[in-house]
Amino acid sequence: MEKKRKNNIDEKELRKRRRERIIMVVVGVLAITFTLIASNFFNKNDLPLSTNIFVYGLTSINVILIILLLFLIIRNVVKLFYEHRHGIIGSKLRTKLVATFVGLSLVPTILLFLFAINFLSYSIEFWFNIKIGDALNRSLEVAQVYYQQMEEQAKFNARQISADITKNRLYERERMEYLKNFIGQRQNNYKVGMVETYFDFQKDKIVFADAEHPDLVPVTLDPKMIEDIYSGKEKSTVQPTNIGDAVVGIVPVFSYAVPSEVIGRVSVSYVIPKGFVDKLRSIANASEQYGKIKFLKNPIKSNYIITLSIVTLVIIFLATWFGLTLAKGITDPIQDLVQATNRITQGDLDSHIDIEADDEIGLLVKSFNQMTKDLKKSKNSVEEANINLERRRKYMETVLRNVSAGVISVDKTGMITTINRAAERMFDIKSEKVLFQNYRDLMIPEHLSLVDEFLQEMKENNDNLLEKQLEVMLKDKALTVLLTITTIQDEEGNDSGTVVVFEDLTQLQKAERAAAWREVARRMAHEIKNPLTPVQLSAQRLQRKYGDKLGEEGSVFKECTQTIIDQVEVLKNLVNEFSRYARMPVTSPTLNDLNVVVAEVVLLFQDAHKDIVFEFKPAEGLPKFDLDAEQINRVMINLLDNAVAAINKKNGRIEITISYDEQHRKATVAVADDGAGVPSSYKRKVFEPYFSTKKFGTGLGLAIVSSIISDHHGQVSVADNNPTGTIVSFQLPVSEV
Amino acid sequence: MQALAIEPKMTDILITNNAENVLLYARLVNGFKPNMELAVLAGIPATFTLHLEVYQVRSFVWDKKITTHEIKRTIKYDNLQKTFSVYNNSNTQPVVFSDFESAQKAMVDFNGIVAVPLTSLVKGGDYYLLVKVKMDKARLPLHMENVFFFVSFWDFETAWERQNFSY
Repeated sequence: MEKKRKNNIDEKELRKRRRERIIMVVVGVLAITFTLIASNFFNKNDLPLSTNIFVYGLTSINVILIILLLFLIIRNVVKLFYEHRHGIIGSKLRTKLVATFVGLSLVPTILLFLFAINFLSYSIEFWFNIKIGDALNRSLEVAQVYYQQMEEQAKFNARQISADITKNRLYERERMEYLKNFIGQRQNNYKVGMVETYFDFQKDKIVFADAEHPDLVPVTLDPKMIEDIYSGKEKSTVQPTNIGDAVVGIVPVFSYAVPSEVIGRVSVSYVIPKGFVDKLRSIANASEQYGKIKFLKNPIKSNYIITLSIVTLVIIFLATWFGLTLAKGITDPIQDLVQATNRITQGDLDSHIDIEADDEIGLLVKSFNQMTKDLKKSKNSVEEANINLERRRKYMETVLRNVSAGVISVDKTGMITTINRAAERMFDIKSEKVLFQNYRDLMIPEHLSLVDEFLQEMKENNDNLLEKQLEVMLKDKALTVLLTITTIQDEEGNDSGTVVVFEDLTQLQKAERAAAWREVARRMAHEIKNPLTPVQLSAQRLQRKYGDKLGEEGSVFKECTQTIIDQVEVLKNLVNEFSRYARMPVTSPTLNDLNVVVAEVVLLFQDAHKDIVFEFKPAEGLPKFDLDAEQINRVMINLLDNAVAAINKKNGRIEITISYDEQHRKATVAVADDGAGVPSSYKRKVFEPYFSTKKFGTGLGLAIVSSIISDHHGQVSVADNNPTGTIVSFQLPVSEV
Repeated sequence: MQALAIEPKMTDILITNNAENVLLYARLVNGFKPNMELAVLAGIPATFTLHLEVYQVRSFVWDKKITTHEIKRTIKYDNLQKTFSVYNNSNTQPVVFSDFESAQKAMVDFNGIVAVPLTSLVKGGDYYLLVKVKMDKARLPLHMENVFFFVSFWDFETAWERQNFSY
């Protein structure tokens, strides 16, 4: 049973593991598929494919794991809710543990989340503080203004030079030398850097190098700018160089003759040193970075909030998961313990909990297993003791059942608790009808008063043992019993009931009486018979000698002597009968057929008494057995003689039935008549010598029957026939041949 | 319908040729959205990539791809000099514009793009050209574009536009 259960558990566990493996494989396949799809279809940036796969792989695995975690947690929570509702063992503790864990993790997590969100919002707001932004913008503006001013300055100087060139017509070819002097002078006066002039008639432009930066490369203008200049516009540009930024102002040179005609251009360059440019650039960069980040303020905030929310959810999920796992770890052994306890309560002491743990739960489980083992050992010992006790009890019961004396025990309330077979037989009762009933409810008043007397006597004598010989009539049976009443007391001396032992002395007494009567008969025969013959002889002699001599009076004399002679004859017969009874021959049993022996006698009586119906029923299957045919013959003659005498009417009926009890190997011969019957008070005495209800009976017939049957180790009994008459029956043991 | 109206798309597609090449003229409309303009002005560079594919039409088998091109244009604002630099195909020398409008025009007008050399075509053949513009994901400071899983920016992609031509 246990093994089967274990196998079931193993199979369940294996199935669960297989399912988990399938889930893991599916999750893995999903993650890979999702990664490939994502990297193929959403490859929007220029990252290498491997990086894309890595990033999307991580993302998809995370997403799948979160979904899986969510699924597992929801499943477990639903399961827990279901178990709690259905009152499954351990669910309450599990719910409490999970609630505690979730509560414990939820409070700090939520607090931390709120604090983090607030802190983040505050920090982000702080980073984008309006003062910082303003300061950066102002700095940028300063830088921008500086550049603007430099451009304006360059354009202004260029304009001045252009105006002087126009005014003095220095663009003319013959005044070139003067132009060069003029620009050199202006370079010194205005502290300008490189100056370039270009006139339409010239092939190349004239470059007046900057004294401070002789390596400065001349400016290359794009066509659109040149076009603008020739349309009369002033332009400026900034060109990065090795030594810094060159701020160039370019203005058109107008014709002296036609002032609206542009005939060339002048550009003036100022060099902003590299160190200074770098500083300005860093201001611009800082401002740009700030601007970018400010632009991303809300997305960053949203992103952080979402990330924090996910982390919070993951923490809550993990806490729930951890709570569930921990609760499972605690409640599972408890659940097993409860189930094992239930099994033990139902008697299954082979329950064993298979949990390996080093903690207190493990100790508890070990102790429980040890306790179960001890309990089983104790139970086995108790069972063994019980078996021994039961064996002893059965032995005692067998002894009690087979003991020849009848034993009846009653408890202190008077309820019959034991009755053995001998008692059942003796009193002709069935134990199932009287067991566990009060003896007072079962006994007739006559017997009950007798019992009360005995109990009273015991009480008065303050004795717990009483022996009495009783002669009782039970239904149609007369019994002589030796009654032994013993009160039972437990170790503390408390009354635990009474045991009554009945010893059937009927047969013993019968035998004793028969022996006594034989002795009496023998003595009587001896003492009486001896003087009878002289008395009879004397009377005959007197009759012979004086009978004729006395004349008329002689008839009286003759009558008297004849009476003496007749009565002596009667006495002689009587004495002979007694003598025969006393000198009963020794039984010499030989193999005979009881049916035949009885049938012969019945046939004789049928011939002699035609007015009586003799019905003979021999026993079927009765084997021949050792019996003294002559004596049984005599028994039957006596019984049938009595039956015929009892009928005393015409058309009487006598049934002679032989039955054979194969199991107990006993043959019973019953002679039933429909005569007047025997009164109950005589039944006990009918087998005693010199007891007769017949007018001329010697009273020895049934005594002889009883004696013969006793010699055959049998029993004789007398009972009433229904509706009238008597049944006298004897039982003989059928010895095995 | 209004939502469709503001979707970026390629228009005014024209295919012509000079002595050597087949040339493409096209314009991207609705390419600059307000938030994108703000982002560019905040210093975030924006890049459009023109994808161009030329196929030869075939009757019984699938069409043959003759060539494929990618042209990248990036606009970057210089806040110090208040100029807009437009870089073409990673050319380090940008075209500088002092106003945003001109710079935007330079970004969305694709003029005289060499689609395919005439030598690659067969006389009497039917061809078609597929073109679309994709805006690359914004490059954010500290590579934050990789961190923003949940925030969508202005990156877009137009539908492929088809233009048939014969040689």
